[in-house]
Amino acid sequence: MQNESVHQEKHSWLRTIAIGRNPKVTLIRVAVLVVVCTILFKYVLLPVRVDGPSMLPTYKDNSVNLINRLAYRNADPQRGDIVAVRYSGTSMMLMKRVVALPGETIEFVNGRVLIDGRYLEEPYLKNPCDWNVKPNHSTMRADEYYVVGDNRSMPYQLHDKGGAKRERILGKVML
Amino acid sequence: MKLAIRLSLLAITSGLLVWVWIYLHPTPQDAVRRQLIALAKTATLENREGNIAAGLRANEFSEFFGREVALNMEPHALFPDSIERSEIARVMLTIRTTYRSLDVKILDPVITIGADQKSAIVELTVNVAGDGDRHLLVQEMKFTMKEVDGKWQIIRVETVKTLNSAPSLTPPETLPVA
Repeated sequence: MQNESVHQEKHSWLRTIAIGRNPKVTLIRVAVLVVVCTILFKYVLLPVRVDGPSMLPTYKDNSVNLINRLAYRNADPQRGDIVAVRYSGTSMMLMKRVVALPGETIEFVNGRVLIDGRYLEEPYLKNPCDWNVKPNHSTMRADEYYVVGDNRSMPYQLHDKGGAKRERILGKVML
Repeated sequence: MKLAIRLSLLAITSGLLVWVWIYLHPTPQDAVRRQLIALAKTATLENREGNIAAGLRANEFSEFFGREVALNMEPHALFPDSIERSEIARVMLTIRTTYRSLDVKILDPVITIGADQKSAIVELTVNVAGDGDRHLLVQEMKFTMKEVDGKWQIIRVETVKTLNSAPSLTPPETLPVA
């Protein structure tokens, strides 16, 4: 008899943990949580996994991050921001740093970025770079931002970089 | 209670009938989407194939395209302005016999159906993983498709620039080292 009571108590305890004291309330809570998470992680904070070495050492391969999709709702990307640039959708994106703003001209001299002929201070760069290049498309259009990764020890031709249209910039990297 | 069970059964049956109807009569958007999924599946190579299997698969792949496909691909120096279906099969055969494995994914297709309901423009991202490289090719593309005898075929292929940079075949201007 006592055994049965202990068994029932254990069962009720497990039940409370699994579905709560009131299953109806638990169901509503779960539904609200699902809706909130769906909206939050689809339209506000987009979870991403970094894939590749182009943002080293700032972001390591396979690290996880969040893209704030509201960051540029009422503001434009700023120099130094790390942004997500979309392809045709959000399944794959490029994570890059904005170095030149619309209308500016960019070139790389001795591995350093020159914007309109003036050197850009980039304290976040740790790897050596020897790029000496004036890109073929070097002056940004009115709606274009020049984006490039932080790992410029990679050969110039292997590194994805260039002018990203404003509408392609999805948001700012958060962490 | 009986009424509730009957109503539930009715709802489930109606739902199933609607699903079957939609499956058998897809909208042009769904038909294009299915065709793209089939295209990626056909292009995927799980294990290295024998020559006959590779030939058949390459031929099957070429059937997704029109008789002659207009191309606007970068770098322009590497690609012709158009390609025939038989050439597509030949190129695909070469690829399938060169690589041990290929995983082709078509991501985020944005499908715009023409006013005639017989043509479509699809913007998409192709990700090809192969031989240990997760991103052997990542390229945004634009397909123009046309419905011919109930089958959606690709009649034009264009590359889309995600980042506006120099085409890789054109060497960038090298600055004198200071």
